Amino acid sequence: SALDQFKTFVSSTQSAKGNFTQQLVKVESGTPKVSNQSSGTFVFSRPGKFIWTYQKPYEQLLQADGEKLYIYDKDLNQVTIKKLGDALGSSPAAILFGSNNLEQNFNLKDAGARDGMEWLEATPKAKDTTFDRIGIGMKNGVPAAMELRDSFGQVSLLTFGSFEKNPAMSAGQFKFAVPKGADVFQ
Amino acid sequence: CASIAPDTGSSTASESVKRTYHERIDLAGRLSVQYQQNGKDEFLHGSFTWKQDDKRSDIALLSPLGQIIATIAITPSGASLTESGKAPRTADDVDALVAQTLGWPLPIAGLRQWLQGFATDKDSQAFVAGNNGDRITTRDGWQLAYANWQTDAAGNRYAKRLDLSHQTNQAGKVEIRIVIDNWQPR
Repeated sequence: SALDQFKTFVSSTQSAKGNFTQQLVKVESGTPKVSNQSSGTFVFSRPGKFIWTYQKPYEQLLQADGEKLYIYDKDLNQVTIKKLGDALGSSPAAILFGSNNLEQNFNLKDAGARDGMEWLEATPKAKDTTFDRIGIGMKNGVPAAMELRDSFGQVSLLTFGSFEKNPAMSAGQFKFAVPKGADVFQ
Repeated sequence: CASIAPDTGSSTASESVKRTYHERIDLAGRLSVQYQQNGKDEFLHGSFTWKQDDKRSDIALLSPLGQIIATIAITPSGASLTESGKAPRTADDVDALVAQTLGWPLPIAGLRQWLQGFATDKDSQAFVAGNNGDRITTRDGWQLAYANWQTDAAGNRYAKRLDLSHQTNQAGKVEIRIVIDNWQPR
C-alpha cells in the first residue's frame, strides 16, 4: 500500500535529488483551470536540508541548510534569511525533507490507487496551516506526485521526475551563497 | 471605491510616454513584503493574482507553493477579505481592512493606478511613469520606484518591477516589492 511504500521510503532515504513540475489547479464553475506552471530541480538531505530551485518561468530558490531558510528571487533581487526553526514543521517540505517522524505533525492514511500511483493522505495536525490536505502519490517506492489542497479548494500539483535516492553529496552542498548584488533581508 | 481614471491627455510629466489606463485587466506576479510587528522584522514572500473590472476587483495572495493565503474582493458597496480557513471580514475601506487583518498595509486603491504606471504625486499632479528608475512620492505618502519595464506582444511597455515603501506607525517601515509576470488587459 502507499503507506507502507512511504514509510519504507522515509526510513531508507537519507537524501535524494531530481526535478519537479508545479501547477495550480482550481475548479471554476465545474471545469478545472490550470495556471502558474513552473518547473525546476530539488535536492534534499534529512533532516532539514534542501534546495528547491524554480528555473522556469522565473528563477527563484528556497534553500535550507538545517539552520536557516533562504528565499532568493532573481527578479525581486532579494534574499530573505529566516531561522528554519519549525518553519518546516507542517509545511509540505516536511513531507520530503523534514525529520523522519512525520506522524508527529501529520495524520497519515491510505487513499487508494489513481493515475498509476498509490496515494496516501497527510492531514496536518496543526490547525493554522495554509492547506487542508496533502496527497502523496507513490510509484516504485518513491514519491511521484504531491497534491497540496488549500482551504479555498485550490490544488498545487507537484510531479517529480528522475528521482535519485541517496546520491553522492558534496560537503558544502547546502551552503548558501548570496548572489552578487542581491539585497539581503535578515 | 470609485476608481478615478487619470487624465492621461495632458499629463505634465514624461510627455513622451503614451499609455492607456485599462479599467479591465488581469494581472499576476510575485511580491515580497517587509514590515514590523511588535518591534520584530517580519517578512512575507509569495505571489498574487489581480482581476480588475470596472465594477469589481478580486485579488488573491498565495504562498510560494501556491496555497491561497487570503482573497480580497472590492465592489462599489465595500470590501471583503477572507483568510485561509476563516470567515470573511468586510469594511468600507479596503486598505484599512487589509492593514487591520493582515497586519501590514497593501495599498490596493493606489495600486489600481500604480501597477499600470500612473500615480498622483504629493502635489496632486498626474504622473505617468515610463523610464527605468522612475521615482515618485504619491499623494498618500507611498514612495514608488519603477525599477524596470517590459513590453507586451503589441509593443506596449508595462512595469516589470515596482518597489513601494512607506513609514507607517502601525507596521513601521513597510517595503513591498512587486514583479508583474502576467499582464492581460481585457
